Amino acid sequence: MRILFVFIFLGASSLFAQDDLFDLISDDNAATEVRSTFKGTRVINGQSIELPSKQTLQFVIAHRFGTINSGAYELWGLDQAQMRMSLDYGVSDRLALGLARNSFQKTFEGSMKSKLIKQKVKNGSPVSVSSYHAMFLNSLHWQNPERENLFSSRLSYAHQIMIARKFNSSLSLQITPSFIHRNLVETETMNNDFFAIGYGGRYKLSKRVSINAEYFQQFNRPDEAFINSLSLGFDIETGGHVFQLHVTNSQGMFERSFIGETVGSWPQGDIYFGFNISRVFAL
Amino acid sequence: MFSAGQLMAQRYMTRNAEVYFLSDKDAIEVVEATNNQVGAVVDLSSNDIAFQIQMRAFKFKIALMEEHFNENYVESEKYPKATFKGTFINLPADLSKQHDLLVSGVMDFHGVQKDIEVNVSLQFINGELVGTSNFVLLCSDFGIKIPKIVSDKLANEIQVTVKAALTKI
Repeated sequence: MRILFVFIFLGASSLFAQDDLFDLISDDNAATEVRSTFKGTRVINGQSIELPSKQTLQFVIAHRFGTINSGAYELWGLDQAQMRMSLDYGVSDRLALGLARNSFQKTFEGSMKSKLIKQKVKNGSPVSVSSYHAMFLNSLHWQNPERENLFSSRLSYAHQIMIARKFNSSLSLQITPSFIHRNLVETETMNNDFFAIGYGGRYKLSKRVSINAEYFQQFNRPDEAFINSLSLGFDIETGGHVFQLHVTNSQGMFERSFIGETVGSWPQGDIYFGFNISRVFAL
Repeated sequence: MFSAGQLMAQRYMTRNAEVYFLSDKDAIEVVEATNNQVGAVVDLSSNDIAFQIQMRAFKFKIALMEEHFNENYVESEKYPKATFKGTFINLPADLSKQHDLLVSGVMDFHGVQKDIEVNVSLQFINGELVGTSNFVLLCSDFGIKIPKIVSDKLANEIQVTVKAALTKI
């Protein structure tokens, strides 16, 4: 009986020895960061939670053509393009600084984007949170001779918090509370400040292609007849480039413009075709 | 109890083994990465050896390469870790000098299990069990597809170097 007991015990312990080799080195509970919630630093028009990687310079060139319903004379909008060029530099894993120029209102842009919270695979935050702060400078010749040409009147600002969750390798969703301030508005009854909430997401169709959608809902704008921005598009990744092709009712490509100054109506076909092309350079 | 204690006494492990891989098909843009958070354990009484590799922990010099590695090639969300479990063939009792040994085992990587044999050099240095190994894995053996567009940059043959210094547990 004793021999049998020892035999069983030895057998059990050697079985145990076989199985727990992996247990010894397993670190399944390690909190690892979720990556690649979105392919690009923008969902479509709006910022995503993603930043350019540390010590990389991202160059993005973006176009929005004219409305598709403008007919054959304008080649369905292709004759009338708005353009935006931007350079964003990843200072660290959590901070990026950007400069941009928009052809719309000859607007210069300076921005700062920070990654505040990183989503973890387990034992950590269920969402990633980033913030975005931008200042816009309208550099058109002064168009209102009755008003004093103050530099401050040319400035407007956007502040956004991006909260996103990558649910699985295909699906990521983001909600973006946004605040826009304009130093100068056209009439006294208009609010200088307004709020908006962005809803965006992507679904990967394959490893290198995703379909994206984005909507910005505006609040407290009683005296302005602007439409909410709705955009649909694809991200296509090829090596060092990400191509984003989309249709949107916003022609502007910076926050004050596409969140607050969208005029296109989807039902009437005032839709702009556009693209963003990004290239990253490791510095 | 005595025999169990003796078994335990023969085990060596580390969580900081290093795995380095290289694909040097294109001389201009070498694809290489290092992971130094690899778990390794050797049981000298049963001749067993096991490795566990968190795929996300591979560090590249170029961030975009790291992203593509995780997203497009090894699919580290679907297959977060690779494991190897093998047995030393002809493990000598005395490891005070360097021995070149053969390990036969199963590599579980990217959802594919494959029997492989690798050469390992092993010896005790200052009480640590130090092992190194160089071998070649084929992407095609593990279901990793290389698109035609990058086939001039990425080799199917991946050269792997493993270094581990294990301490007694």
